[in-house]
Amino acid sequence: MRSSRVVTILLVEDDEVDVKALKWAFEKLKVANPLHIAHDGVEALEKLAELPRPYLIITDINMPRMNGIEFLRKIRESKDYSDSIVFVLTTSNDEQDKIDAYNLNVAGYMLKSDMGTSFTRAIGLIENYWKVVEFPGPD
Amino acid sequence: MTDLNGTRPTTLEEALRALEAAEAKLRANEDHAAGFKRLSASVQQTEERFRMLAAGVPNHLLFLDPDLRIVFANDVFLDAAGWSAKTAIGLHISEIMGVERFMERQPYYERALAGETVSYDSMGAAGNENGYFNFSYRPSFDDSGKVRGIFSMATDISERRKIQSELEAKQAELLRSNKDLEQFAYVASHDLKAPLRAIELLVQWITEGLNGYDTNNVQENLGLLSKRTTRLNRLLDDLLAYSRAGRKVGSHRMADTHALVLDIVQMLNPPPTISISVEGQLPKYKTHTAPLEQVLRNLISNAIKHHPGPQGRIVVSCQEQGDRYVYSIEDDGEGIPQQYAERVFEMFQTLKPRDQVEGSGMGLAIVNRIVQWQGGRVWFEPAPSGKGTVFKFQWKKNQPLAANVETKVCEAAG
Repeated sequence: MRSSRVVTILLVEDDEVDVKALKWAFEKLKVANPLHIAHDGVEALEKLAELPRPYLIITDINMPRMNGIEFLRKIRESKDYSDSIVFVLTTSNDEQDKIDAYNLNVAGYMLKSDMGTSFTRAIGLIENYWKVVEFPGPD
Repeated sequence: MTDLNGTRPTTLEEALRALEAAEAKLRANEDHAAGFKRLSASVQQTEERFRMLAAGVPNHLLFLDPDLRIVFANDVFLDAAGWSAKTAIGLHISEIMGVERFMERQPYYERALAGETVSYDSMGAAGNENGYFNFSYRPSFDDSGKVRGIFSMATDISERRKIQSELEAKQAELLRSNKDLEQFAYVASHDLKAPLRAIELLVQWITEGLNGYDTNNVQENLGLLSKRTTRLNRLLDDLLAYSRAGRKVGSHRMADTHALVLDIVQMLNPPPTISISVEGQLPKYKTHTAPLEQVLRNLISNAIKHHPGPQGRIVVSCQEQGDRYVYSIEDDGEGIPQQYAERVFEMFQTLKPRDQVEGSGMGLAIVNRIVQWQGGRVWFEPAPSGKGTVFKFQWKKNQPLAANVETKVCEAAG
């Protein structure tokens, strides 16, 4: 049975221009899912505690305090969030970052530079993803 | 007449045979004597060669009997120890090296006396207390397999060790600079690209806004655009400052660090809500003023910039510790969790989003690099008052550092 419940999105991004661009892409695609924003891994972990399921995480890598890779490591180790679905959306084209991210079971690694001047392709993909894919855990 | 066996010859023939036999024996004896003569000459030659060899090598050579008394010592050893062969032969080894050192090395002697070849490195040998030596004790066995003495050799390895430690230092420096380079490549692909991408986005939005396609706020986007160009500029400036840290050392001259701090504070022009004071009198000494000023300025400006307000207090002080001064910059701000003790000193690391506190994340990386170059270290602790942070760094006194070639060329050119 497909979940009829709305997917909540946690966006982990420290750059306000990128946050704006993503919000705009959501608007353009008329995606009205609830959107929560954290500015680094530490804040994201705090926000996760009160995030309703099902949820989906979009994270940047290079961030203050706790970067995206460290954040991924933390949630994969945790008992409550290890099943989280996470997309990486970053400027980092570093091979090691990609290897680390996929080893930490991300659903996809996307480069901001490939997105042109709007994130509509990325958000379109993620929107289709949650429409088609079953989410883990109880509804 | 009796033959050699003591029996009297009965016939002439027998007597002749006995005579021949006696003659042969006599000849054999003469051969023996000549042989012995030759042998002893050869032994003497061997011993002479051994002495020449022993005198020719730069090592200390000793032969010790099983009671660890000196049987033989080469001139290198005797000259270094200041003994003559006459006085040294027969002495116990502890009488030469002193009881304290003997106690240290006794276990090695005992292992050698038990038949093991022992080798170890240690500081101090006869006549050279500060040199580093390799000692080797090789047991010598008699025909029955008993240890009849120890052949002891000390080799001065001070030079080798010096070169080795220089090599290690160079290797560490190479590793560090490699890591810097790697970090730089990573940073260039992210931290420099990120503001550029943002600028690209903003220009696009502004264009769309001006063309009436979009309701985006042009004024707001222009503000963001200006912030991003400033950020990019600062990143490039700080990257340059970082690459220069520890290179452009400037002149080595008398510095009144008290006046220096007061100047820095005036230049930084802190808001009136933040009070900055200097505790006691900061020292005056000869040093490379420019790098010290940069370290102090970065730390004080950090304390101001990251203070949450509304009222703040920053105190600069200094303590003398042996060959260095330890400067402290204490604030009563938010404090920094200890888990970030290393990260804060890395390139382009910030603890807050740059949109909240504008900063390149290079300030402390520059401080760290300069302080390390000068031979000290920088760290932070929670402020003793329980609120805020104290940044401390060590600065060596009176240490003129050779400005490297690059700097000289730069200065000559400039």
